[in-house]
Amino acid sequence: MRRNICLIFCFIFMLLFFSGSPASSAQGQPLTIVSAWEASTIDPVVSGFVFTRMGCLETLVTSDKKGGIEPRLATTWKVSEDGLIWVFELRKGVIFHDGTPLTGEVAAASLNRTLAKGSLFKGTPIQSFSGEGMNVIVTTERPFSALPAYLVHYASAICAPSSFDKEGKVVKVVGTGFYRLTSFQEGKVIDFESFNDYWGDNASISHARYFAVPNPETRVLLAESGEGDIVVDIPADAALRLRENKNLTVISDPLPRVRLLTVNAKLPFFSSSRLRHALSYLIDREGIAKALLKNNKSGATQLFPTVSAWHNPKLTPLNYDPEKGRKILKEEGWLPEGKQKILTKNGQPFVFEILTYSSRPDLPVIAEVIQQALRNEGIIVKIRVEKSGMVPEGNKNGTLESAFIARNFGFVADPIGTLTSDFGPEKGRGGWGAINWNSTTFDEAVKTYIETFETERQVSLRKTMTSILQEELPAIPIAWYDNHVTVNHRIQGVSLDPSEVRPYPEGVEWAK
Amino acid sequence: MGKIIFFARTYFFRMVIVALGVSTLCFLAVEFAPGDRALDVAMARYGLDGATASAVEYVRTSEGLEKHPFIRYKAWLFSVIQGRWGHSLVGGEEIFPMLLRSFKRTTLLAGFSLLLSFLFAFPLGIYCGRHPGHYVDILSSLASSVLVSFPSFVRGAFLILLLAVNFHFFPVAGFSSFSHMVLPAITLAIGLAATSSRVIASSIQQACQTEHYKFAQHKGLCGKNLFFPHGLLNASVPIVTYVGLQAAGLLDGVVVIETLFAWPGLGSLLLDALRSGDILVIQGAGLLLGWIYVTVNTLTDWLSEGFIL
Repeated sequence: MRRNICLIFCFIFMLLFFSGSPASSAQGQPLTIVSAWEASTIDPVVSGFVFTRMGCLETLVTSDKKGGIEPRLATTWKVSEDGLIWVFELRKGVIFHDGTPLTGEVAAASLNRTLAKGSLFKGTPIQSFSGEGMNVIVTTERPFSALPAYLVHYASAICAPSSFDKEGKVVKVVGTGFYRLTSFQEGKVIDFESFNDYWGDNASISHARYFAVPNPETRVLLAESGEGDIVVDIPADAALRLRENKNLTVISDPLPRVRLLTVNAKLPFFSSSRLRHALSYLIDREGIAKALLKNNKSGATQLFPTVSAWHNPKLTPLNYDPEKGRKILKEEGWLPEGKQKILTKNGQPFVFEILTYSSRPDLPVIAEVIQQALRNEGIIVKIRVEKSGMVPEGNKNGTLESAFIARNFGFVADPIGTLTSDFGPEKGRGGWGAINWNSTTFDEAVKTYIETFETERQVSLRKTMTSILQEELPAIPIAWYDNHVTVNHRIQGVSLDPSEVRPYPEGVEWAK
Repeated sequence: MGKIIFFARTYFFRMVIVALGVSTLCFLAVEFAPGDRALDVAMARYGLDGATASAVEYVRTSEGLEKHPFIRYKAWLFSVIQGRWGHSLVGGEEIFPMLLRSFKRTTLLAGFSLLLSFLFAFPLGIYCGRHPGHYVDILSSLASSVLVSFPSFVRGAFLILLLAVNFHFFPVAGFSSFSHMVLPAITLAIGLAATSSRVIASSIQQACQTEHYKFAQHKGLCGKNLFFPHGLLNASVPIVTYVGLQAAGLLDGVVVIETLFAWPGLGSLLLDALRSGDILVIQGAGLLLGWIYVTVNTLTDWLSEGFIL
């Protein structure tokens, strides 16, 4: 027995000896960025977000961190008078990680591959990309003012010809960024090293690592242990706790993402904007934001958060006014009946189902709070938690009564694409937005916005569209998103991009 | 020789039937589950916001998802027979190397956990079995009940907080080095040892109370000469069966631990594939898991038979 105990202790000692000390020193270690999202493949069309956000791949244009666009690989761009041909002039002296130069032909070939294989340009009027010297020429079927916004997206990142085999399959990732790829371990651990011939400022830290950890609790522990220098997507309650940690700074920035309750306008209780507003008045957004999201300001007063260029401060904010909500419902003939005092009109009880999904864990929890709030007002809500794919499926087959979802209006720099797909003409809808709601004025505004190149006109059209969505309320905004990120004090210079486009390591260095 | 041929034949038939049965059931379960497979794949591939209507149609046509499910199943079956397992609908990677890599990692973690658990459970179980009612036996029984009642997720989180966050002995999560495997293995081993030590103790206790054991004792045998051939050998049958089941369960039942420690094994691969509707990966994993279960069960049977003989 004693001999066995001795053996066990020897074994434990050996384990400790071989384990080393993972977070004992910073210098000489890579800059480690921990994120929730794995790269399922090295193909930038699918998983390019890892490579653009780590500064390995670059796009022609990028986010200016204020909701606008600024040059990256292209220095200037202009559009022909008929709005059908765009010319992007490329930056001179840019070379890829394999030493080959960036030219118009190379960039156009990379973009044409995205056009053929990716989802980004599908449904847009883009016809083709071609290269002439240091220019990339884009031809569109009809005027398409949102083109530069689409070129900010990771799927349009420019890769060297050596990235692809003869069939166009990606065999390695060769870009122009300040980091070059050194190893790709199943899309979960991805290593980079500094590229010394970068056209701009070189990376201060010689090596960087992207570590994908989908489990939020593990990400929090990685931040606490010091193994993650920048840890993104920290849950709100954990962010609050980590603020007490002396080794970390927690940055909480709003994102152009919103939690929405989309409702089926064909159902009698959602058939008019007045009824939809009544429902909106019964939901205490500020309470939800304070109790669950730990930020009073994240209660959505309109569709677009303050961080979006589409936020319209002149709109009457959506607020919590249960008295007003009850009054509207009463005027519309919804009166409490029976022992349970369920609102009923013409024998039909106010009962509906909210479909939501757990891949964003906060959604079912908030849905339950809404359920309870509405139950107190005599409205019965059933919650169904399914795969997210059931939302567009239900929208298409007409069975969806309402859905509580999260939408990213920063997917491309200008949210017009997402807006068109969610609220625009019914034919091109993706199933995530309005259910059985249409507005010809809105459709006209979308069409004109896409085809106009005058900034002032576009600003005015944005106001028109946001006003329609606020007045008609085909989807009831509930809460905006915050991005909680921890930064270890070993590093400095971290500046986050609300559009989630610019590289994390940009300007980052070891703390002096 | 005849026995070996019998075992080999049984193993082969079991393997074919179970592996095919499991993969077919996986296919049916995924294919006839509510929802659109092309939409699931598009969302996994391009993200929820990138899965536009045109992207979904592109996935449907480029991956042949518009074809009738049974035509696709037939095509998959024929290609598997020819050694081609197809490619992932999400990442495009070849499925066989993907499965092999995850299987290797899971086997490594499972093997190491079993080894650790055995190092604790075996001496403890034997001691408790030979000294029933001793304070070690009572304490071991109590500790076993407490440890088993803690879910593996809680055990893992506690160990991370203690050994990784506070003392920095081991990394929190990852899979790049041996040190990454230690914490998940200890977490699993604690749960395994808590139950197997009791199974060992109980088997030893029962074996030591049998008539033939007592007869050997009366014959004058004592110490190692009595315990090893007449006690331990007879107690081995239930122990081997139980450890075999533990081993098979570990190979696909450690999803929680793999998720917590970001260990990319077979369980998490299967979970990801189920979430994204990556039907070919699910079928491949089903096939592999079927094969694993049959192999482990056959091996257990063989060992048990061997011990009895």
